[in-house]
Amino acid sequence: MVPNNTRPHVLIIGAGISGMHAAIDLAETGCRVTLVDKAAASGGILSQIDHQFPDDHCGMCRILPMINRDDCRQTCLRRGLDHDHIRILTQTEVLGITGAPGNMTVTLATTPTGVDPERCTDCGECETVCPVEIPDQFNASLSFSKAIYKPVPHQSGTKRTINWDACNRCDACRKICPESAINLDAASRPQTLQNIAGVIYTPGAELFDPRAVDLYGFGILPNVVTSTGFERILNSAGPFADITVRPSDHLPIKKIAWLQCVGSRNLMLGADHCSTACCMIAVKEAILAHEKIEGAETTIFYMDMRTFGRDFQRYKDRAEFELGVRFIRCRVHSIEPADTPGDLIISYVDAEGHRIEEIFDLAILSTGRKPAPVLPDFVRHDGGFMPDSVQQFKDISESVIASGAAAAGLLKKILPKTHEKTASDDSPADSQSRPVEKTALVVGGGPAGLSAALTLAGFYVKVALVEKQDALGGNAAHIVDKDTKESIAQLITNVMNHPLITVYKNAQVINHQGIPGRFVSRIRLGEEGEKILVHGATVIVTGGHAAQTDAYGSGTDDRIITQFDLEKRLHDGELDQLPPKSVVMIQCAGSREEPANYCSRICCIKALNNAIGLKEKWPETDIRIFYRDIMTTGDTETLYTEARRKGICFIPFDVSRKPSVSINGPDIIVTGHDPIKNAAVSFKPDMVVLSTGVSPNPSDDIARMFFIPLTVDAFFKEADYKWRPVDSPREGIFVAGLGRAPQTALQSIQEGEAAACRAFRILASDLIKPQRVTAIVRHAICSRCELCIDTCPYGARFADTEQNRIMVDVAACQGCGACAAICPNSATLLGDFEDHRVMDALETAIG
Amino acid sequence: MHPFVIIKTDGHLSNAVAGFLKKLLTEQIADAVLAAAPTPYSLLPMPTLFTAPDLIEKADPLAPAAPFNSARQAISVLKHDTGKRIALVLRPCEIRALIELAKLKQCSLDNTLLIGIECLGRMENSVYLESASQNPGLTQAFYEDPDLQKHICSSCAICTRFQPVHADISLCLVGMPANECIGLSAETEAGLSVLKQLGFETSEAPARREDQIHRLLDERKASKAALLSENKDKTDSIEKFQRYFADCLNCHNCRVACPVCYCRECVFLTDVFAHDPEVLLRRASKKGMVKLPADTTMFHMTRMAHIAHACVACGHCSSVCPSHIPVADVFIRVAEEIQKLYDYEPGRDLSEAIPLLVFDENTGNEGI
Repeated sequence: MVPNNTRPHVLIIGAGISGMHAAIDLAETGCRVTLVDKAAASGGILSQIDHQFPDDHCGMCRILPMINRDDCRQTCLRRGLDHDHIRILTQTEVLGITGAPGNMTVTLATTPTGVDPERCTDCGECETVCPVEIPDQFNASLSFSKAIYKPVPHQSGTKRTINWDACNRCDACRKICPESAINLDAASRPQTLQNIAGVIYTPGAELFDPRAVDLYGFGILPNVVTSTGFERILNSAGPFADITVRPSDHLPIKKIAWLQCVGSRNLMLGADHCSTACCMIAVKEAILAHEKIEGAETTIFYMDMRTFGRDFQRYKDRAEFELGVRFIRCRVHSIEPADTPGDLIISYVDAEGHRIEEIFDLAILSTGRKPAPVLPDFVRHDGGFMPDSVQQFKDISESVIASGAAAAGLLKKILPKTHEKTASDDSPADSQSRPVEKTALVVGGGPAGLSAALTLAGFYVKVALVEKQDALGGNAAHIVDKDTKESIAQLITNVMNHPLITVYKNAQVINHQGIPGRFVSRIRLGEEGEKILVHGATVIVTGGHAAQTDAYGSGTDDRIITQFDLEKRLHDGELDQLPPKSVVMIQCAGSREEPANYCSRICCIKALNNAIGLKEKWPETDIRIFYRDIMTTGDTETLYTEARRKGICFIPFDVSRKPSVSINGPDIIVTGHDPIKNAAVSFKPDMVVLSTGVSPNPSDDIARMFFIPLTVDAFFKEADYKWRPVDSPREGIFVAGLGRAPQTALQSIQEGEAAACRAFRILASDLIKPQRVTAIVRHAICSRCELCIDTCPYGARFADTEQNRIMVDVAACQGCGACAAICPNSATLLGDFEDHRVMDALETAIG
Repeated sequence: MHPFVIIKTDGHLSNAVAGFLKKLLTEQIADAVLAAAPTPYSLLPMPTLFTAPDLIEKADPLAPAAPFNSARQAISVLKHDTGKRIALVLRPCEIRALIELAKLKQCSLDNTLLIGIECLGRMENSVYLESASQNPGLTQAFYEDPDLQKHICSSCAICTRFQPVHADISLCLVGMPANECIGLSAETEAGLSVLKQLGFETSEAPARREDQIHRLLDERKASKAALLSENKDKTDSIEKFQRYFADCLNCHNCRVACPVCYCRECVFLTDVFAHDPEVLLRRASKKGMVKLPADTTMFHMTRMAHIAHACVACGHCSSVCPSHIPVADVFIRVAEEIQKLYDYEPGRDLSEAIPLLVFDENTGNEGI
């Protein structure tokens, strides 16, 4: 193990999921991390939430180290992070940062907990005698806690802490404590950290307090709760003994309403932003409600259902069509108490324009983040890295990618050229350890591939970049946006000029074998023959392309074009001769319904930019956009606001009532249904512009060669959508970019960086060493039935046909024991878990 | 309906079958044929690998005896593809076991011709030896005389899967008067092409077959239901289970006879169960005594856990038990419940995944 004092020391501010993930990635690549949070416990908002979309499981533990597992306690991460190279300081704030990257000085102030953790035996006497009762933050104020309390009850090893604002200094706890562990006079402890190599800032989102929206009665009507509150109600250790009862009278919940965009997308509150994740959280909560409450009736009142992620539309469809969740497009005006105690009246306007009053048992306010965060000065300090999700309310997957990219950015700045020496292990090699080839193969030269290659080269790793086409940049050729175009051009220049990167154009991988740390690939180089590359890690970034569709007469008339075409014509000035007087845009052409039932992520933004572009040039042009849900997540919401301000007309439609496009003599006629007028509408535009979305590039051969599964839409399927979004299920092989999920070029660049950071976990050390608990095979009694290969969730086992043996890759093996469980004759064993020991333990247990 | 060929037996059933097998060699359809044949030293038919056409005349795969499930012998010649095409004449339970073993990578079926017997059952070895020594024409007599068929072993008497699944060609006997003719049914394209190569004319199967198959199936189902329900009463608690296996000698014959117990070395022979004397003394001291050999219940439970999904109900475990424990009855009963739970049928389809390799979060919610 590399001793802590020789590792670069980094500071991460914010111990939520982004901070913990960045900390673990950095610790795995050879850093020492101090992780600080002003809260009393680590874990952020996720410590309150059990189930997360889109699989309704938790799985936070999947971000734990996989290569150097023994550095970390392998347990449920919601119970706390316990890593040899990560120090967590809670109740700690950063006062200031000085110095330059590589050698910064950080001053911190830690508020004392009032409880000496060395003495406290967790007996709980103090909490019993404490006379102060305050709303329990952990349970979203649905229950009470004492002034001396456990901030996150399920965290192991966390001692109690004192809420100084609530404490009345009555001294009762100090008097009763049998260990004299309590000190009510403890003062804030400042400390200075010297020689900090760099800083990452991941403070998380500050949540909106719905008390500001008085028409919804939050804080007055007990059965109006926030979505976090509902997660706590559903928790078996939550505020109520029964998990399916409402706060006011503890009667069973049956009829539930979700109100979306509370505190978001609200100009009156200064919130011209979308909180991104709340739509999916509401869908998930509705699914959970159906799972836990028999006969639940669920209704989601929404403005646009933002099912922006790769698999989200199908998730929402399942909720709607299989579970019967009702989706009503309407912003609810107010919530009022009903005559029957506890019940709530929600009045809304239905699709036909009728005003309806309906009684619900429980109303859930989907609250997102507060508007306009204020960033501390030190964040702009050179060496302070912000994941771009900073203070946004992003889903887990994007937070993990963003924090991975931030960790990569930091590493590039702080790694000494001779980092191998720092990060490597000096202890002698044993028979199972194996050397690491410190080179990487990047398959694909689009934005994600370029950024992955440059990031790896920035870590002093030699990179081979293989591109099928004769030019780098992928879809950059079709990108019009000046900033994006420039940043990709810059990436290409940097890649071409980087001494550690070799670019193979017109080249293809035709064979790939091996294990993490040593893969062998055969590359076909156009007409120049073949080349063998040996590399320690592989990044697959084969990209995507504009989707083809024949929807709405696409391709039948040259006035029916795509957003890509319009963008180009606008940019090239092709429309200047004959500006269009009337334009109809149709969103989701050929997407968000089977067979391509996913949101392509880029089309809404492209359509809005094009529409605004048209309006800026020709304000008189009529623009009408038929849409299903405008997917302007995060701060791109401002585009939608601007478009509406410019007088662009938006007409929503449902898949069952799509607009239609027909040609009648010289005219194009678009007819549709306007739900506000509740009448048919018909337009004769000069131009119909279709948002046709994106598809992944065909990658069946790559998937087979690299053993990476594909989703039904032929995107690469990662190891875990939420927690390991850029890892393939095979250790040592990483996926990013448009081949993995629909995304913008800038997101692809970020994913490339995150993937490079994951790959560097392997490439950072000279040796891959087996961890304490890995599987071994007893070849003499092994029947080679290969059940273990099929059952291994990490792809860590393979048949060596030459030696006629089953082999274990010690880097990929996580010691889970699935192989040992399925092996009928214990020909595979897990170190430290030999059968006879387990049986002795069982015998003792059953007596 | 599959293409059907009627072969005349002219009063010599065994010869007719051997004649068909001989053609496989002479017409170079197969490089070798594995079929049961009596040895020079005993009437008991043993799986025999034939390459010489004149010697295969001795083969008698329809003899109502099988000293063991031949799937294990089959895999010894199918361990890997030798480039030779091998025809195998097997009972349905043997084919089922072979398919399971192929899923477990114990053999390759790439270059084989599977000939399945429509099986009316086998006699226990001792019963067969006694009958065959008194009646040289036992094979044909068995298929003609329903009384003789009553002497089949108890597992065969409750077998409902007597028709081959996954064979290329089935040797059909139900509804066929054995002294006149038997049938060959082409179950696969490969099977049909072999029958065509051999110059057989295909026709429809005799109509009476359908009826008789159903009648036999109904009888078997009834006997099976009765036996399994009786068995459940005897084995549905751990105490009863222990009583059921009380006379077990830990000889492990049942495991040796089991065609789907495929381990190169059984875990009960490894160090896992090679207890130190301290362990036995500790166990004894808990209750004042311990029966030796130890781990009898553990052995049967473990074997059940390992093979219940794959049990092909051949009954050989009962046949080899020196203590005459009806081992198969309880295994068949539990296997049937497990297989139903996973909607899995061993030997049904080579591409059907072994249940424990498929994760479905809803499996098992309905309980056993």
